[in-house]
Amino acid sequence: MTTDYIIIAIGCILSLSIFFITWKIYAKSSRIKQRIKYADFEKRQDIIIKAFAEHFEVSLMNKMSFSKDEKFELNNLFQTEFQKQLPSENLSSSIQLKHIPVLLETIELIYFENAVLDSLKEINRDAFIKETTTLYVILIKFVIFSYYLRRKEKQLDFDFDEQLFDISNYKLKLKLKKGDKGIEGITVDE
Amino acid sequence: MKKIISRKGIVIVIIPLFAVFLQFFLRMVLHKDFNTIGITLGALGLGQILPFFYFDHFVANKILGITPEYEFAPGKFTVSYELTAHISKDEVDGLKNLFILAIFLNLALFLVTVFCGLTDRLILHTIFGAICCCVSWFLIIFK
Repeated sequence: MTTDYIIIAIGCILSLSIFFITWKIYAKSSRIKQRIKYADFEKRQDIIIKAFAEHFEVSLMNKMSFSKDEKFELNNLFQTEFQKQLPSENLSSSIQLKHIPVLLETIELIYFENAVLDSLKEINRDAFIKETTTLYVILIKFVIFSYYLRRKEKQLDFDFDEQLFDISNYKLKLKLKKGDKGIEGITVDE
Repeated sequence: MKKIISRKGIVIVIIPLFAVFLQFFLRMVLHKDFNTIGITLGALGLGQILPFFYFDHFVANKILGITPEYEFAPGKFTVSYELTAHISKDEVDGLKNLFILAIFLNLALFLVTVFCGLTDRLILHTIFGAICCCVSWFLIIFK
């Protein structure tokens, strides 16, 4: 009988210790993973904001009559506003760091038609930042969407050589042109 | 190549089914009873936990949760892990030590399980064997 108690006691102590250690390993590694996830997210966000800010300067502001100082100021304002409106859920869940180079290539292919540029020229500065940020938020969603569409293309047996996406809520027409090597251009029109 | 069954499927379904089959085979077909159910479960648990002694796998997969990138070049095969956050070595070493402790405690519990089986304490034998097995499974599956 005494042996029984001793065995039960040893077994219970060992079991409890194992449970405790397993829980500790789980909790500690979860915390580390969370930190990595957050750092990853910040890095992705930073890269994407910089890429869009560059596109904003080269493809949009350079085609308008802004002075150098104005451009610098507007770019900063744009980055701050863009960061606020960035669809963080999309970024954290659907993009990994290894996808970033492909997305950056796609961002470079975005081209604004004159009608879009003309309509942006007519508005004041605050409205300009607001409108362009909204426009770029739509564009980032579209870039992610097109990326996944391309990855699933074979699976869906769907070929989108030249597709027109009419985003009527924002009076925008996005035209996706695809060649042999993938997307060749995204044209933004009204 | 298409995968027939996932790793999780093997760990959660196939291996326990094999253990149950083994016990049925011993009792129903061979008509023998060696009080071995706890030993089978405990050994299954230990068998699954021991490969984690290759710590690079344990550290990358369980602690950091990152997947490696493989690169093949002529005469060179590179495996790289990309990490953005700063993780201190002490933190990882601490977890490695805890893991070693978990393995040795599991071994000790396995000894208790074997002892219970040999001295005909079948309920204790089964309970301790099952604990040994469940803890190992949890350490394998958790992400």
